[in-house]
Amino acid sequence: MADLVATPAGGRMPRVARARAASGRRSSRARPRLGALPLLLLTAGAGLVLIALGNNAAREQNAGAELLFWAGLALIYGPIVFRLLSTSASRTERISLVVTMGTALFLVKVLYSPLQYPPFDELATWRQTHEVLTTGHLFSSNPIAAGYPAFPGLETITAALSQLSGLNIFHAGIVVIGVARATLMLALFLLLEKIIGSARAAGIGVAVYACNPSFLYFDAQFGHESLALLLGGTLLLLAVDWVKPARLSPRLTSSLLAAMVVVACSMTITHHMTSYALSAFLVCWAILASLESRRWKIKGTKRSVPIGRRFSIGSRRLVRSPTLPAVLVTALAGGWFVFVGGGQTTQELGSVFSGAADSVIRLIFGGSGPKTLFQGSAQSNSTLAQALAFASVIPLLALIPWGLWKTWRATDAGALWRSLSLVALLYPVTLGLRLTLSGTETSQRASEFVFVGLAFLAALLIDGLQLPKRALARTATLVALAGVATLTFCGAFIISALPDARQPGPYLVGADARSVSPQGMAAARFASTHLPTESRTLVDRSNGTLLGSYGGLDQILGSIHGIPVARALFGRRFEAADEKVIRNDAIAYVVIDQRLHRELPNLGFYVEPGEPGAYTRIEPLSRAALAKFHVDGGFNRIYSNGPISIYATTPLRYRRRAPAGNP
Amino acid sequence: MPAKGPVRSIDLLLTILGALIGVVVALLTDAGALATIALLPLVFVLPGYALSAVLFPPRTIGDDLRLVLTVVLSLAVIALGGLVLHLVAVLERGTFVGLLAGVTLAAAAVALKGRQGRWNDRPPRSRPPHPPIGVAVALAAAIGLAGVAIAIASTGAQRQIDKAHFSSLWLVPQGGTRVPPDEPPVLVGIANQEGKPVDYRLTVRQAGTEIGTWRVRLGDGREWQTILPAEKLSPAKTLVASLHRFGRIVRRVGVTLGAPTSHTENG
Repeated sequence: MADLVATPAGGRMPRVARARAASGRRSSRARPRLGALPLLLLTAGAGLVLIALGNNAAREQNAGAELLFWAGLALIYGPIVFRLLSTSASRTERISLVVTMGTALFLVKVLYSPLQYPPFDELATWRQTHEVLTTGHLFSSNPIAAGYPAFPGLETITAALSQLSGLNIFHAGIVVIGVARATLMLALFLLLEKIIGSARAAGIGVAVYACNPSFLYFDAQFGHESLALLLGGTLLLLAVDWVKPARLSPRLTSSLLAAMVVVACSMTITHHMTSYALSAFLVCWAILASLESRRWKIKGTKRSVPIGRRFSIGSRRLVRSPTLPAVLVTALAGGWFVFVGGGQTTQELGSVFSGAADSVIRLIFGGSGPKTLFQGSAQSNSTLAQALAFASVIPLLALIPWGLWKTWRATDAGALWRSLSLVALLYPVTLGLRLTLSGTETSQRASEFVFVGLAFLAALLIDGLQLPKRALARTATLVALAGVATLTFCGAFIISALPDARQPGPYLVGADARSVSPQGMAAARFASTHLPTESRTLVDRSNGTLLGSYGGLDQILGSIHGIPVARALFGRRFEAADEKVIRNDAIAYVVIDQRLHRELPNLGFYVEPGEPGAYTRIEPLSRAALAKFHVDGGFNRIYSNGPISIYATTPLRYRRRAPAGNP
Repeated sequence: MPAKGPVRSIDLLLTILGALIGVVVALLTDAGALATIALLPLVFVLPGYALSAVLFPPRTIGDDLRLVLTVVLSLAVIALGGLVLHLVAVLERGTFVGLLAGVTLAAAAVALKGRQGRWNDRPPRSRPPHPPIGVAVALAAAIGLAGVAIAIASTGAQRQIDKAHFSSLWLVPQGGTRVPPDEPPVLVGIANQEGKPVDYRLTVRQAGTEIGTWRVRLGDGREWQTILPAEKLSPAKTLVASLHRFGRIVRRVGVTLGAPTSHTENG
């Protein structure tokens, strides 16, 4: 089965794909050269240097920081995509280029925070890995992200690398995710090449996939999804091999099945969303393949299939169709949900999806207006950036009707092509979700899956374009296409990250990575050394993530007896309800960062998205709210480094209650 | 004449050798460059390669797909193996080394057995062409540029950290059964992150009575702390520590030591 090109859903391979596959193999044999790779390696390296200089300028608030950053990104992406679009590059060169692009763009994330992980997700994974290293066991609870303990794949791998090599968690995590990113690029290339049958199309597809808003930062972070995407991509690659019509020996059939089982199990224990998304896709593919095979059967025999048999699945068809991978992934993901991670997954994803659904309903029925696009609580994009972001969406939207027309109209297009085009159809839906505050996160998290479909359509359509025969016109066309791709890539990054989140810089309130300060780190170190681990702590989000990871404390969120825990931080006076929160929720420490009164939180909230006043504040917290914790009020101020103080609640929690009737 | 038997399985022999080297290095050293270089293949390459050799004999899949499977199956061995092993053992260095080396050696042995006598009648595979020297030089230069970029970014991040100058003061009761503790003895400490050596004066008072005064010269990044013994402190009174620098108070912390009250805390 070496180098065979898969056919959609076990059916016939489209004629175009067959021709491309043959020519691709011929050209790769004829020209085993690496073309412009040396030059593009250097431009990618130079792009990284520009970004590092731009980030340093941003830290110092010097002029030109953004320019250097964007120039660096364009220098990495633009030349590589130009070369991928060209018709002269060999297959080996294209593979090298997509791996170079993926790795260089991964390093852009490393350059953002080269010394430590920033909040939020990465420190949650850090804490989970730290638990594996210190306890030697999986599934320890995680106060930063409730859903993490149920999916220990990444943490186990990072802990193993850390244990074996002596690298700390930060460096081990970078190595694991870096290797996963490079391998993902290769897996995506092979997947698209198998599906479309062209190395050029595959290269273009991977370049378009890199335009998904999560690619640059979110999918490069030390998080479950960054690893799970590789596992999901590999599983899809194996599934495409599984359904192809080539006659396999029983041994190779068993081997493919075994490999799929192993990879599917690994994905299931690594990330919930990837498992569910892949399951949904495989089910869609299986249904379309089943319908299609019946259609062929009806056409071939010129007689109708009895209704009773239309939905039956013969054993042979089951074995060599996408049904088996679909059943496998769905059963594993479902089983893991039921027996292991259901509660935590529901807790983590439930609020995300219910919030998105609720805000969409309110938007449609006029309960609330749309959010202001490209604007956060305390920042907004420039007009130019907004224009670029809007413009970047247009080419992708234009691809969809064109691609759907091509994939659904072609008589020999298979179920896989059609399934992928349906995935691309979700892209406008995800854009619509961005009109709501709660839907934005769902849209962001869906992009890495939706872009597999968009990448397929883009690859299919752009590769099928007839280029001008004259060299100059051909070059101009390729430059124009590369320019559009680069604008799309940059625009997607504008869509995904507000200005303050794109580059490092001075301290900001409630801005995750930008809220990490040496004082916060010092407080976390103090807590780690001097305070009992897992002590229940009331603290803002950014310091809570630092204290929850490096400090070993547990940040308390939510509400107790209907009273939001976070309210204890917000009032100008410490009231009876606040005291109830401290007492009833057994909060041992309160951590106050005096800088919170400086400005509105960048994320829209101080402690958690559900806190009173989240996203709707027009004034920052008052100084009085932060000054109300003092020794006379029942708080022991046990630590201070200037902006950050830690209060023990012991006197308040253990003091004698006043006689009944007295306040 | 084509070579026979094990010579054709040089890849598997190298895999076995790599696993054995990994085990030896893991026994000899805990960390450092040697451990990193020798054990990285054991994490990312060897188990997956051996497993892919068992599942997919040579020429049944392309080299590029095998590369993907090598990495993915290696990661899967750790993730799934760790999941199973944590039920019966503690996940520590020895567990992971045993898991990875065991899977690698077992799979390589199975793959070797499967290959025996299979290819003797087939012509040897041509060697893959070496990459041109220009590509190797460019790759080295690009890695160098990436290293320079990381160094620049790290320097900038460290400079930003170093710009923050502050001193920390703490006063932490160490005794009693409550959580957090609120009874003597009490730990008092200072940390200097002012970017230079600093002369501090620390005073601790309780209800107007001076418990102690310390003059401390601390280097940048250094800490100092001492225990205030229980016999010097009175219960149910507030203890206040003040940190002075240049004659003025820069930090103040205070704790009320455990009052003899009934427990009213929930739980």
